[in-house]
Amino acid sequence: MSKINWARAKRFWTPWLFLVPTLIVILVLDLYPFFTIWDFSLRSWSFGHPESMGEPVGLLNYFRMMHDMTFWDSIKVTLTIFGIALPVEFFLGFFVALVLYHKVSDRIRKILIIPLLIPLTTAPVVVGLVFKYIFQGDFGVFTYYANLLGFFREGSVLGSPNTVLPAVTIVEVWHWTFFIGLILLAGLLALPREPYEAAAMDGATSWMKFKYITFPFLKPLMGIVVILRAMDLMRLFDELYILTGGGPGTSSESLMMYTYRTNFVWWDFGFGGAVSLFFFTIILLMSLVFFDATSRKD
Amino acid sequence: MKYAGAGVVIVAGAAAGAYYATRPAAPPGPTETTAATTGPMQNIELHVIGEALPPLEGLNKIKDIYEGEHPGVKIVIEPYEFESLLQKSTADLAAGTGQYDCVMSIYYNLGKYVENGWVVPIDEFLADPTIITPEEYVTMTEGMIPGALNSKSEYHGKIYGLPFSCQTQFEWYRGDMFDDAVEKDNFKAQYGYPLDHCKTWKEWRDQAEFFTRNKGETLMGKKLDYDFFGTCLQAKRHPCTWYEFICVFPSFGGRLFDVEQNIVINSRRVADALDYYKSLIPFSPPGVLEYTWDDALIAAQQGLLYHQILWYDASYAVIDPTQSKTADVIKFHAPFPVSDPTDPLCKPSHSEGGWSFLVNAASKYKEEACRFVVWANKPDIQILWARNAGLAAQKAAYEDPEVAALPITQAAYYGNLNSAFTNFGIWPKEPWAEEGYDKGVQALSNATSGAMTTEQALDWLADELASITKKPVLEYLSK
Repeated sequence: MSKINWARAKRFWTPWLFLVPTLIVILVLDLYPFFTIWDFSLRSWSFGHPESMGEPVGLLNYFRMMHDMTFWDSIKVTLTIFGIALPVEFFLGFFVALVLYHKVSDRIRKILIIPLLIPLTTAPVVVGLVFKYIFQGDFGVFTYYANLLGFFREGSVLGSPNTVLPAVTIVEVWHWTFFIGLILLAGLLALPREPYEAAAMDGATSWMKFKYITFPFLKPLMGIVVILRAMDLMRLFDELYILTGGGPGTSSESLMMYTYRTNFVWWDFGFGGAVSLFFFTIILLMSLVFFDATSRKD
Repeated sequence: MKYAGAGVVIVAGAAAGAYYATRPAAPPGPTETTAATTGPMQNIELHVIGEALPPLEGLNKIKDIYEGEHPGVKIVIEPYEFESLLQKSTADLAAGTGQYDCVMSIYYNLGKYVENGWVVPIDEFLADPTIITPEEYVTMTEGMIPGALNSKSEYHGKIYGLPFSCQTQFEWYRGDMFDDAVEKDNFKAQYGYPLDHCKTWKEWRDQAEFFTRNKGETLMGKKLDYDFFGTCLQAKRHPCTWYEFICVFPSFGGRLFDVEQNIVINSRRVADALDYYKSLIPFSPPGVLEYTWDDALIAAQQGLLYHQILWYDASYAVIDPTQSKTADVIKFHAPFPVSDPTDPLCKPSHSEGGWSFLVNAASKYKEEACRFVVWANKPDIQILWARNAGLAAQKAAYEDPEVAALPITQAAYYGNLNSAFTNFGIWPKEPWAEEGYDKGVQALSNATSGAMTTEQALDWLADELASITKKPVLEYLSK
């Protein structure tokens, strides 16, 4: 009988034992719900149709989703907010970070950061409530000044399908721009000085320093911060729910809100499960693409 | 790291195995018999969940009477906003956690709760003379407003719980402007008929148009320093808008289904009603597409408008001088007008909303919960409750001198709830009702915001209801 190599077994199993608590958490909170939703999506599981509760329906929920006009509207809304808010937040946040880094002394920077942190420390629900009253069609501050300029006399910003998304985007940009700015500022502050000194000695211009030193060094950090905001924007719910409830019509109903409605208003977990899994797949693919792009060596 | 892949496979396999081993079974069907004897009550808490409005506050004020009569029983009332209430109560009922013993349920959810086995029929408990004697039960049910028991507690021939509140909507209007001699003369001069309670929806819009004034114009002889509006819709994408529309479309002769159970919500009559509803937007505050019933109430309390459709339970907040600038001048009227008084299909309608008072099948204290539900419906308790803003199911409560003296009672009770006309304003109680209702709200919001035309919105709604109910659509307007 071969002798058991205890030392080798110990070397192999010890890391796994340290991982067990985390794996249990992942199992219970992530994988088990994931399989539950996956199973639900292949069945009829609606409190509104208890007569067919639990019956396998194959891919019917997915076909129904693909043929649902409201589903596609919610994707359009999500991508619109995503497509506008993300670049604006990124470039504005980066601009703020560059100004705070290059143009402001260390002491002033520490003072200026404090008010810039206020949006970040405000809960999304509170942000939604505050802006709901700012944009309110009868007595909102924005409405008052807009009326003075001749706008929104007959309607309101949040009450029109044409203006509700820009208004929501403004709220998002106000709330999260300095999140990007703060992280990029931290990245700028962590940059080594030596490459800049060497570049200065070689006669590099500011643009050349940015292009060949700053940007490559910050690229991984930019990737991470863009992924984080991208996923947040895809999951946009709190502010939207408070501001508009998805209206008027479906003009501000994001994919997350649609997922919520199918699951917790219609109580149709089969169909809602299909929508949830679709949503999960989108987020997963986005994350894989971004990680791949930012980890590629130039 | 070469074993990392094997590790991932092991974990995923364990997860899948764990899931299939513990996969949730389909919930049970309707509960046939759930009577439970719990023995003598000792220090129990009955948790009641309801909507945070005056009727629930009123129950909270009188619950100590029940606690005095039943030592050892404490009633804990948990108020929530409308949508939160629906979600919390449904989540508790579906999970079977029994956190709430008595559940205030919007009437159209009754079918869903029954078919999923979440609430108990109260028949077995009614046989218990310590809860109610047969004679008392007959007296109680015969003393109810017509239709109250059936609309809120009956489902496929069985009684589940009892009514919690008999809700309705009626006209709120400014009595001071209605009675003002100058305004009356000007109205007649402009429209050719006297200012009076509306018989038709055209008259309703005429009054809304007439009383819409800009800042700087005159109203009742005084210059306005703010914009004043003739009416106010509840047009946000929220259940409020469909409730409001239910007060309108049946009185245009519109229906949800015809007698052969075809879907006719997209008929020409309903489309005319929706076009009419949209035509009131210019006479409403600019933010009206964001208005729920709360915002409409505030507008009335602030004195910003002439007349509107609003709820019975909210009316207590507008006649309270501590909350409302118009407490002394606001008046109420029912029934609502119709589209064409000569058309026999056009009958006055009001959205008879209303809440059921149900016993949770997962409650540990079903018998005591049922006892409390029955107690709250006894005529003497209903009178007390009505004096504290309750929306009673018992006729005796409205005929009590103190309640009868309230300005709201004439409209609510004599105008709507106890009136002779047939009410078409009830939404179905089938299990799919909540999803159908939400789609009605979406369709209305699409139409009022201009995202869809009236015809497109109603055809879309008809198709969605056909998908939910498996009933055919009779015809289309836009296809």
